[in-house]
Amino acid sequence: MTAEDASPAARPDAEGPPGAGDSGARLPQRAPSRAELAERDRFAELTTGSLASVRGSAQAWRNGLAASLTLIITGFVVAGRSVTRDLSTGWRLGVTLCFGAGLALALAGLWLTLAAEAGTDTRKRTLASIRAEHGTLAAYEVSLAARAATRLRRGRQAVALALCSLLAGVVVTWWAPAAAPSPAAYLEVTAVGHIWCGELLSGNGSSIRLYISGQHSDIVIPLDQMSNLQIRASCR
Amino acid sequence: MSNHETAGQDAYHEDSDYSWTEIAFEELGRGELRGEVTARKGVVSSRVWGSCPRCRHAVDDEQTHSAITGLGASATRGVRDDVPDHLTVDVTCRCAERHAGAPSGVSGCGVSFRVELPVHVVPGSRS
Repeated sequence: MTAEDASPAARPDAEGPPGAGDSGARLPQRAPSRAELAERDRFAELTTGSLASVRGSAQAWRNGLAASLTLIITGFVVAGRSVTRDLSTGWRLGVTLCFGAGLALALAGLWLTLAAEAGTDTRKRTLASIRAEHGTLAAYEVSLAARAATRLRRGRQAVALALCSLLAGVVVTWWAPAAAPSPAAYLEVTAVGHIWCGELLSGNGSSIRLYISGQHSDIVIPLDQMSNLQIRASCR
Repeated sequence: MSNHETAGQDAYHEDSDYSWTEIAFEELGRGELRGEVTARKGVVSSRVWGSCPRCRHAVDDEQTHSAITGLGASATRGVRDDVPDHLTVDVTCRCAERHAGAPSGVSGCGVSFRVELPVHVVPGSRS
């Protein structure tokens, strides 16, 4: 008997009784071929190899990520301060946030990759409990592999975001304007009963010119009116 | 069903003629052969057990129909979302009995057949 003789067209009751009972089974339209049986056996090998395959990939990612993270942290420690020294407070904060977020995301990615490689379930399991929950040991291993693959995927996403954040921090250091240089010292001048404190702009034989923060124009103080002159680190 | 009549049921013979699939379907109806396909946490597995349609010895076939084939976003989605309503399962007799003419280390009578079973999704097990 060939498959065509038993096609659904020839067997209008193929999906129902008699023969199907209450199992819900349907009569297949054809028998398995030799190639399909061979593929079934090869798929079984794919199934049993799922967990090892995922954990092998996780190990490779873990190695690469750990090496990259070591380089990044070393770079922060060695050059971080010098890179941000000339930036104003606001830009320095921005760079810190970018690098900090990138580092945190990279650590999260490393953690997820490690969890994918090593697993996190430390419960003692019995074969009976595994069969009750998953049906077969092979299904349990595929479930573990699926969970590990999800963790690895999330870890890779975290690393991608980390790289974007670190790159943003680097670009900010390139393009952020340098902070305005502050004078080496401020001058406090006492003259005609007043005290002025500001940056010394210029001086000549008759007067000195001060820039005082908040004043619209520079202050010119004749030398013969000065009673006291002091150098200060700040005018506050 | 010439293959069914002429092949000695005790001798090993690799055969996947459609007649065995039909007999297996009838046995499923009579309860001589039983099968179930379950999806737990997105992993599909099957079990077919009962009498072999050819040699009548006890068969107990378990298969897992899900595998992780890649590490992209589609890998776990494939396992979770591709649960069909019915699943075809190809079973080869691996009964414990030794049949004449079987290759060394191979058990069963050599017959292969196909069953098509409804998939039962275990509640609360979607991952």
